[in-house]
Amino acid sequence: MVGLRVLWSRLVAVFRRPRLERELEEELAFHLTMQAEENQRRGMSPADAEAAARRSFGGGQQMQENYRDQRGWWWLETALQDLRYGARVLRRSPGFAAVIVLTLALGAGVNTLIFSIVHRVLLRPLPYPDPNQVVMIWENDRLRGTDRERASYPDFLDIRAEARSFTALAAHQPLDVTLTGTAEPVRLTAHRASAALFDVLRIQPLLGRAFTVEHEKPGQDNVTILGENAWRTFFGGDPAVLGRTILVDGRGFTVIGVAPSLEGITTQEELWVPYSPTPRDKFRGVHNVRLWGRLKPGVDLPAAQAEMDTLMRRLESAYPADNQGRGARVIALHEEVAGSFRPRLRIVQGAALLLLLMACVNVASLLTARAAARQKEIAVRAALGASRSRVARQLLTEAALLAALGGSAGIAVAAAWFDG
Amino acid sequence: MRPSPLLSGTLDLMVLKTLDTLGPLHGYGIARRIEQVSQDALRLNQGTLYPAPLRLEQNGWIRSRWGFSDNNRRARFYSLTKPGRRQLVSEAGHWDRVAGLVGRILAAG
Repeated sequence: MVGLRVLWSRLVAVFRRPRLERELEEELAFHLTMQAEENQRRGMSPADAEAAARRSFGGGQQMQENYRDQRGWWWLETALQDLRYGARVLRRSPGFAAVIVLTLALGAGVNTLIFSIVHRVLLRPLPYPDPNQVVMIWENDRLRGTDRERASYPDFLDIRAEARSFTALAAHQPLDVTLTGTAEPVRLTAHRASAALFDVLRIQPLLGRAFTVEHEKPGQDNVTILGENAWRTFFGGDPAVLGRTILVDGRGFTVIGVAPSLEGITTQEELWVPYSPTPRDKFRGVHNVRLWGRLKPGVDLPAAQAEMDTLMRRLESAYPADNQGRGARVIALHEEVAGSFRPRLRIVQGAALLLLLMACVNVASLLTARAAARQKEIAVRAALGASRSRVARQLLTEAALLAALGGSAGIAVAAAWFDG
Repeated sequence: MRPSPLLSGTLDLMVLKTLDTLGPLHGYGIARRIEQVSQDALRLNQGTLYPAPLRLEQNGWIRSRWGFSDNNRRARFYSLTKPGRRQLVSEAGHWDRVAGLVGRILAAG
């Protein structure tokens, strides 16, 4: 704490310098007067008394420098001087300052914006526990040359029964439905999903409870979980919605919970219903389920892919009529979400960096031209005793001031774009 | 004989002790007091004293107020704070231990 106090008082001193300087002067004048009076009492003449007082005090200027070093930070004080001077210089040539600030703002703004998008889409992990373990499994058909096909429900059951790479596997099918019983009928997406989807993503309902496997049995499946957005839009975010019955495509479902928006996956107005098999789900040739899985800890993508290859070959020989030529591909969820954007975003990012580079070159040449025009001022400073490094520091401070203005303007621009 | 350079930290200790003994005092008074007590063995350039009270004040061990001296001149008076008194006790104890140790080593030589 003692260290902090000292830092704080030094910092305060930098900003209260004029007053502290006056006080120091007064304190020293008092000291010299007292000493001179004392000397006079010992019999010196007034002039001798004063000279002796100065002698016994020692080097006044040197002492004041030591005192100032202890009081504040000289580097911060001169930096502030330079900053004030720089601001005055820029105010005197507002056009020049505006051009530089705008150029930098554009370069920095575009880059900030692009990087924000890249960060959101490519770099930030999805908001689920151990998101790298979440995968999707797509079927493909070597004979017809298709890729990323949905699986059939019987395939899902076999994979779930046999695959050892996953802690949880879930089937999921989005459907367009009509919700009635609200103020007016609305179209939205109903996700039929296995109870296990909550285990795959490791999410908890915001309200109420999740599905259990019991709900996947016919007769038990008339329950629904509202998506957060549908809950807020159509039910006013009212917790009392739990237990209410809503009509989906004319069929009654009891609301048992509210699920969070699945960022990166689906964030529309939607609701969830249990995946209880329909008669269509008996056919191995009907491909209508998306497969979700969570890899066991320590199992990586190639291992899971290898197991799926073996398993699909077994299904191929067991059910040649429906599964001939069918394989499966395991894709990490983050790849699924970001994959298609990646090359395009990289190109845009490269272009933005080039733009920033051009902005920097422009600003550099403007500053160089200006430095040439200020030769006289710099010569005067050098003649008055400013060292090369002191002049350089002053010019650098000016440039830093411009850069800071341009940078903050750029961030403001990017923030405006990003929200809008 | 030229005065030996002061050990660093000893000036702070002397200032604290002076304020503890005499109560609130201005810089000139502190300088005079230290010279008197040391019986002029310690002839400071009085100016070198001033960074010490500043340092002590930054640490919160003393505080300063502007007031009026005996002959009615405006002066800055320094006084000891509670943490300053604690610091004085601990520094004085430390000094005693160091001085005792150095004394024993010199005597054993």
